Amino acid sequence: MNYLLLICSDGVPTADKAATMRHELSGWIEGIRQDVRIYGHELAGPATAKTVRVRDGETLVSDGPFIETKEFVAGFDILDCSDLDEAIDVAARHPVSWFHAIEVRPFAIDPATDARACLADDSRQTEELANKLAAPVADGATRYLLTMCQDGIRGTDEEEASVVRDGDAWAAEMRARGIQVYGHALAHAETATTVRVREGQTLLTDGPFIETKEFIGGIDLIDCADIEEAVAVAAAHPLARFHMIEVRPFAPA
Amino acid sequence: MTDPPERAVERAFHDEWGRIVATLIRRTGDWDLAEDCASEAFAEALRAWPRDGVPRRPGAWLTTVAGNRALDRLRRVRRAAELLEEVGRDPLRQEGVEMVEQLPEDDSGIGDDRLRLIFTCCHPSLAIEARVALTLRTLAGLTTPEIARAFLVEEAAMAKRLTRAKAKIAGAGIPYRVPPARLLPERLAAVLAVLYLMFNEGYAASSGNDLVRADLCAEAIRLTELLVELMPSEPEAAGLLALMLLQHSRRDARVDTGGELITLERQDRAVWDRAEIDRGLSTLGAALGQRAPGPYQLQAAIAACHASAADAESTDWAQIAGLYELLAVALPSPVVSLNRAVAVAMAGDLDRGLALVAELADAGELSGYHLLDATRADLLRRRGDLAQAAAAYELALTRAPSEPERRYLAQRLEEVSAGSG
Repeated sequence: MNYLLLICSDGVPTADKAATMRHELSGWIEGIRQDVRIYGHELAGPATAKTVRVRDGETLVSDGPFIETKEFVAGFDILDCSDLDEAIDVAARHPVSWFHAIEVRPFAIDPATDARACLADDSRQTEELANKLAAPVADGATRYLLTMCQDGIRGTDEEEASVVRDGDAWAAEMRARGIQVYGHALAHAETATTVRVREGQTLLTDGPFIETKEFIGGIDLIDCADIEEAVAVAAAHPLARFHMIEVRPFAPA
Repeated sequence: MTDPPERAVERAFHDEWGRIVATLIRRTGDWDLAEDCASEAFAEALRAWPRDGVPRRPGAWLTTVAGNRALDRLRRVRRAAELLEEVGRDPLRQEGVEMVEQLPEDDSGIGDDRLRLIFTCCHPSLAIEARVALTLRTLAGLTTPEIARAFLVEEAAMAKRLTRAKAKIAGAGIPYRVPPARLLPERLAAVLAVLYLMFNEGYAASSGNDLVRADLCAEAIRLTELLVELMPSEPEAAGLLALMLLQHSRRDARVDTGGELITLERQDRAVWDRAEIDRGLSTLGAALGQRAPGPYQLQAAIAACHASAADAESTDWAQIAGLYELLAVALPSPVVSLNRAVAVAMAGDLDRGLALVAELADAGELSGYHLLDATRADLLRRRGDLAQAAAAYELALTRAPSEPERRYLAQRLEEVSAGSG
């Protein structure tokens, strides 16, 4: 199964905690089998986020993440694990879980095949995906994370169907233009588990890191020239018409 | 002598439900299907056994019937999928085919499925209330309305809780297995915590007016017995069982006819369940023999000291104080330290006990906790400082959260006030 780790911060860490986490992080990446961690990246700070909505054909952009709290998502990792226990184990070894928290979210089961949440059929395809995502971003482009945020209110059947239909068309177009490098829906927020490690004990809580009626329904990675283009790409996604999309640049390497 | 068929079905339900559900979950991966087919097998037994006689091996009969029901349903799903495929629709999910082929296989040598089920139900990524409810539903066979009544929640809310938990198990990929050795200590502790919570939920309510809630104690004991049987080399599981048995042995002495709580010191020991005490003591003895003491064994050992004393006066408080000292290391908590202070005082050193209480009060962790004030009051009363005791009882009275506790404290306050006045 594939899992998304949302690396969550409870606030700005003290200098020594930040140093410890940075120091331990490279050890974490080295310590994980390559076939388990497909990809991951740190994000630029929450102040760089833009939240995009489209209402009555007009694009509305607000500064900051889709939920304004002192907690924020600082990075993410995409894993290929045998089960939740393995994903929890990987999260519990991540240094951020020692000071903050990591949300473990399974990717959605593909309704077309009803197969278990699976981004690639076999290890060869997983490796291809990992290589594709790890390839350097084109000169002059920046990679952005689009977080698809649902506000918990279901649209009409026609609206929901149009999000799926137009969303597929959006993905095909953005892939063809070399913009979308990856995208997948997540399983329902109720399947989330939040991992914290305190005094050597792994503490689990049922549910997402921030409990609100809004929830993250999926992620996309796009390569764009600048934030204006990224906002325009997000605004073209049908979800922006009914819900909202957070746009966040990756942290500079 | 043989049981009448209805009684035999009832007995088989008690003995076999969890095993049948657990096995079907492993074979099909589908929790709802497993529960439905197990229910259908028992319904079929109610029809068939009075007519054909009780089978020689009721468990095997039920397992076969439930398994066949599951197979029928999966075949129907496969047939439907094939039909869809023929008209060019969604292909059958690959796993489904394998499940149908695998179902009739013998499962000998794979270990007990109930153990897998208990660890999956008690997985720490599920909310604690969901773990308790799921364990009662799938392993103990309580119905959703019964569990809802036991936890004083609406039936619809309980049904939703169970559905959500099962959806998470499937959707989040919670494995159906006994955890590997490196995870086992942590996960076993989580299972024991669920069982003890289930027991305490029932024990706190065992005032006799709500039998469903009191039944939780019996279910918790039964499930813990099962765990001990399946994991005989885990002394903490046996320790928890001993602790439950020893506490449960006092259930009828804990409240008076008016529903008021009676402290251990004032309980009528003739009402204690001797057979249950003996079972608790022998379970504890076997656990301690494995020489790996832990918090549950220590708590059971403390309960055993009380259970073995012929009357309150002959309680071995020195031994209890020593056990609390060990427990404070194994399970550091201010409440454990408070109990240790009481034991030290009761062992004869009132001044030292009061000093330990004062230390705890200074540390501040228990500030506002009515039992800290009530304990200080009680020790002062025993030392003869009735005026100070009255002041402490008054403080405890303002902080006590429940009516029975306030009534108890008010009565003690009246006694010391009469004595000092």
